Amino acid sequence: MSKALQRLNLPGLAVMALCAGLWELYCRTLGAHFGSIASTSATVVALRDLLFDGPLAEQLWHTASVATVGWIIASALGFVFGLFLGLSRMAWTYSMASIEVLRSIPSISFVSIAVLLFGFSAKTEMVIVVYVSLWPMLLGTLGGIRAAPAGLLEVARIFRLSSAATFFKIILPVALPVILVGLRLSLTLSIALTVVAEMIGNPEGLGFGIVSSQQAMQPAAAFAYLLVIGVMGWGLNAAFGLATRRFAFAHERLS
Amino acid sequence: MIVLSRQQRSAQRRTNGDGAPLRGLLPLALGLIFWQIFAAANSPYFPPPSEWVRSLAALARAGRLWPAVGTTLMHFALALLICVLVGSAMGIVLGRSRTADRLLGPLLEFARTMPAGALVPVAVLIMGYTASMTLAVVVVTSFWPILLNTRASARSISQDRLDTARALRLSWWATQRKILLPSVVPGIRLGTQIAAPITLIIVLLVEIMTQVSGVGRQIALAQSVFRSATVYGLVALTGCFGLAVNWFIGGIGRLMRKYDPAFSSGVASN
Repeated sequence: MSKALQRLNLPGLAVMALCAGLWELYCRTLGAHFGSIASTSATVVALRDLLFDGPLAEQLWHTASVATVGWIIASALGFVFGLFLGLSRMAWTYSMASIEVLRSIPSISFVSIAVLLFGFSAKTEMVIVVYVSLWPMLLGTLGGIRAAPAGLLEVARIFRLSSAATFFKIILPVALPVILVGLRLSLTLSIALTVVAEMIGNPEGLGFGIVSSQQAMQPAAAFAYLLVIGVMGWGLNAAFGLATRRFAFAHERLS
Repeated sequence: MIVLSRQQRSAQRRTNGDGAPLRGLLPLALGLIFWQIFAAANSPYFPPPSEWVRSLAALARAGRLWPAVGTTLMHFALALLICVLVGSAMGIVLGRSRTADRLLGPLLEFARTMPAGALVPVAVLIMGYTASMTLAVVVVTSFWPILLNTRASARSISQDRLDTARALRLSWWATQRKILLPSVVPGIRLGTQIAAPITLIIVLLVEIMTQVSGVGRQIALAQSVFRSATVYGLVALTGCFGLAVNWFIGGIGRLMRKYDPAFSSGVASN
């Protein structure tokens, strides 16, 4: 118990609370005449209203599920493509430069093209999320597989391992940490792009919530949405960290 | 520091994509050629590449292209500069002071996971549709790689160097300038390499979302009136920006590796 308390970093949390308090103070004194900012207490009240009488729970579910599903689809696709390009020299030679070029196009630009093609719809949102979060996973898998040290591959040859055994016993374990980094980056991107897609392309979820409260000049609601989005992003990342901790340790033992 | 064998180094080059042969451009080129041949010139969804160029030229004639490009690139450069300054300063403080690191840790950890898009409406509420709002959102979301890498290298300054400073009785200020700063430069450089493409993306993101100024505004405007050829043209243009940024970064990275093979060890990405 005391160990858990130590790990909690109470001073750090106190600083967070202090910042919230200072913001409250600022809003009540110097910033009182600004109609477009919301104090900490007003944000909490708005949060409660949105949660119990408003659409917040439904929107949170929508955003979190789209981000997660999009991430899973993108990861699966990215893994398969990355595997293919990493294992086939021929495929790599004849497509890597194209991939480098396509990857350089800022992902956000595709939101506009997706809206153009699919209109304001759930399809737009999903296409954007999958397209954007595909890249880190593809490049992570590819990089991890190609980074297999030549020495280890020679060991596999000496032991006359079949190509399947070489893959599962040597290439995949070496690639795993890099793949996990790709997975994590994909998750971050998929959350970010889900919110953006909801703001521009699909009027649903938390992204739509925050942008509509800004346009309706309801700062308290906008601040509350921002808080919820932050907590959701942090929560999904933390869940991912917990789920993959085992593999991270496995890697530390390995190296 | 890890000294890499030649094989590992060549493996690293391969994974960095530096060695990707130009033959790999074939699928992209073929795709564009087929697109050009088979798409109708007035296709509302897939206008051919020649139409992209034509619509960009029309935009340039209307005097709206180059000012937008200038604004976007200026926002990008300015934001990156501020990112480097803020990120390296905070990184040094957090890396050298365990107390500061512990005090600010949870706050920064929470702020780091905040998606850029979500910040835009709140930033608009606080600062209005202004250039400083654009810069604020961009800096707040893209300086993390610089902060993390600077912090990592500030933490791992070798004790020998610090002892040397003490033996030479350097003043506090001289120690910072002669020992600390040179030691964190690799971290700042690495962080900047990771942050630069992110900065470009976020600049465009804010421009598209708020339609304040720049290329992003032109994309959003063209999309809202279904000028699809203009949208494709501008997206291709942003791709050129991205390529230029990546090429520049890759060039710096290659130069570093040439003179200091151990340079890319100790990467801490976002």
